[in-house]
Amino acid sequence: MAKATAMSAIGVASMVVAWVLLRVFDLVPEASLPWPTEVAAAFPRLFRDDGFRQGMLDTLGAWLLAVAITSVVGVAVGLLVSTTPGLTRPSAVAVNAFRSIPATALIPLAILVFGLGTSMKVAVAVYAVFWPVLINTVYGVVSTEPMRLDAARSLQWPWWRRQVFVILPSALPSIVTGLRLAVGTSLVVVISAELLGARSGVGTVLVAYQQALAPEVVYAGTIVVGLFGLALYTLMVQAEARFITWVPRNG
Amino acid sequence: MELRVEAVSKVYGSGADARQALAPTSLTLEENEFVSIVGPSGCGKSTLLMMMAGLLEPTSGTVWLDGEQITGPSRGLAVVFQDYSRSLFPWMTVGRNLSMATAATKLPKAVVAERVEHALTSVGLEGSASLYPWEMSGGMQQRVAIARALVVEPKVMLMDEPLAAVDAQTRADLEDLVLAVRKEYEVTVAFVTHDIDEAVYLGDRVVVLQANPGRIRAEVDVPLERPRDQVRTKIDPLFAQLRAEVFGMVMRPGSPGPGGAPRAHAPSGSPGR
Amino acid sequence: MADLRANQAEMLIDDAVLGAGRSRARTVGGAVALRVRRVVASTWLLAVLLLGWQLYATWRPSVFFPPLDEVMTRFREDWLSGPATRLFLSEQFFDAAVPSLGRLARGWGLAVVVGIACGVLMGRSRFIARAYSPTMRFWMAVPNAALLPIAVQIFGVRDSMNVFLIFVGAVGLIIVNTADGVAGVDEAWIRSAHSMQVPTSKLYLQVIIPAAMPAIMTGLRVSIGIGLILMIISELYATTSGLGYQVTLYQQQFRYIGMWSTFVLIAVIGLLLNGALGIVERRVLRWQRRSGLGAF
Repeated sequence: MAKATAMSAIGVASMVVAWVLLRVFDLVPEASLPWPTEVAAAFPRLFRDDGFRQGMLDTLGAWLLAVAITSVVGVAVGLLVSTTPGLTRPSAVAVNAFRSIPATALIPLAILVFGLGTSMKVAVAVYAVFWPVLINTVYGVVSTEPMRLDAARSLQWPWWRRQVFVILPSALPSIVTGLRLAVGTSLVVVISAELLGARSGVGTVLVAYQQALAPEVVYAGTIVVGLFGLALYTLMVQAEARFITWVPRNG
Repeated sequence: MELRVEAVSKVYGSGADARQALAPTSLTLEENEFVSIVGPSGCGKSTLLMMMAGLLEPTSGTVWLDGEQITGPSRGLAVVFQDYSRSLFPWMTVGRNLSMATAATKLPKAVVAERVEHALTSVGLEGSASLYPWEMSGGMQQRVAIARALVVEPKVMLMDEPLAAVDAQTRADLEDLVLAVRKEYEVTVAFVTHDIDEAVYLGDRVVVLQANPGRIRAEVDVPLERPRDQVRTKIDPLFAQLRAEVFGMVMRPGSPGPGGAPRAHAPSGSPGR
Repeated sequence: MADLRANQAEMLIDDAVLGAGRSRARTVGGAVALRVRRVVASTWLLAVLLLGWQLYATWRPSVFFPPLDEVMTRFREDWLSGPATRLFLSEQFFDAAVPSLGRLARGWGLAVVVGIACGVLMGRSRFIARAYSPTMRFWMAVPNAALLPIAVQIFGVRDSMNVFLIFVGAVGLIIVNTADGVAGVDEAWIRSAHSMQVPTSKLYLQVIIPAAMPAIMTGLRVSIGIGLILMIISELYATTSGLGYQVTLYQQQFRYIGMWSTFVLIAVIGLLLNGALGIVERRVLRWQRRSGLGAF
């Protein structure tokens, strides 16, 4: 454990050294890449800023809402589509068509329709992650080991019992994979929407600091957002490891 | 070409976890000899073979190929692994799999192509260079693996339970194939197996290993006449006697084989017994 | 972090889309009939949804949500009105789509080369893997779009800004997936190559990378999706050309049908890219599907 920490410290340290070297040899203009010390000094300023804290809360709120909506609707539609024979392939084709539009392209439209509030961010984020959640759910159900279904049938289990005790457990790992992708992507999309002109959010704050020519705060803010993303991802992976114990995982 | 194993041992792990897989062991393969190595699971027979191949570094001792020390994979040695599906490369055609074996040599392309076709012919797969391994049956894939070993025209062929994964009928065919290519290519063979019949049927000599730690229990000469034949050789009373002898040593370590051990002699350099 | 399962889900789509026209009927007539039936069986839902769009938009007219036929007419005028010698592609296509695709090609192409190289390094060296996987995990967790202000800060409003953002978004995914794939390559293959004294360059190019290809393909697929998202967002945020810019332009001029026709073009490009990658993957990973083997 101590060794792992030391090793990762070496990795982080080498990145900081590379950063300092970029500065020392002035390979990038100082206006675009401040010294690491300046960025470190910007953290307190950032945390004192009410706008940043409020923006962070707004972003997380929109993100949480998007993930919640997608996990309910996406999984439900996925289960419906995959347990209805004859609907699986056509919906795969339809999903492929709709998900080909990167959600970010729809932001201008969403602004027209929903305005600059939270609902706009949520709408775009849901569009972005609905398809991967849906398709992973379908895949999970479709790839249920047929032998297990046969076994359940030979035990004369009723329909609902087969769904709950055979199909759902087999599909769950794949569903969770879809949700994990959704967690990351929806945050990207929410912040994208904020960059383009939501009324509030961490992206809005970062743009404001960039326009106020305070790059060190932009860097500090980006690092904070990254740490948040990392925390969310870790939480998700741990929940997965905790609740899905019947699937062997590699590594 | 003579392969000499001199007091070679292998310890896995270190400190309190250390486990001796093979006690110091010595063994000599004479030029053109066919030596079968049998033993119960965990007796270190694969470990011994991997050290002979230079793929595993011995904890102590040395392997000599014709007076030169083996420190890594060597051109004169070719290995046939147990699991063909994990040793052939499924993303390459059979022909590319075979020519891969000559990558380290500076042979001209034409020579390689000719050797590839020759090796495939020797294993009865002429004209299948453009197929992919997964288009073939298991037995055919193991033939490809054998052909791949032959392409470099090795002096010594080391075979690690090469027939363990194929069905009985195919297995008999492949046993005879191994004997045929050995004769054609005049190659020295070390053949690890857990099948006693196979060991006796193929070998000029059977080396019996025992476990915990792995060491040589006995060496049994096999004076059965060649060429061997699946039916004629196996009804020879001598075959039955040798088989029973080896069987006794593998199955009941510690007690002498049935009927004493007239041909079994304590191996040189191995401690105990 | 390699989401193999996500990629298997992708393959499900491929099977549905690419396999739609495939059939095993013996007679030619039977084959055609079967083929038509299969295509219909897998595309009717899309047709119904598009028809629903058309009917709803004519029933409840709205400037933001024009009917499909108007959008498609506009699509043809906007993008496909060029001469046959230029594949019917219009002037506007060359002004808007080509710069976008050029940025994507440069950013993603660079990410593929750098990502596979770094990933192989990480997958083969335990030291590098241990030292850099926490950094990588952090890197991947930074929502890429949040780097836009920084990218503009560093590069200004130039092509290199878009290329940089696409590269940064794609490279992490490719590194992580490649590293996972390489670390998971069956030791038996490597030992087998060692026993044949395969030279190092061949060991990497012909054994390790092909064996890790299933995971690498996963990285390529996921990263092209992210690349598209970032291409558009960076063009919406600040540029003077490209598809994203075109969307903004139409929006500011209140020409919403034009905006929709751009969406359709973006979707078509996305479909073509995904389809092309799917075909490449089927070809490259044929051995894996057929032999049931792989890095996992």
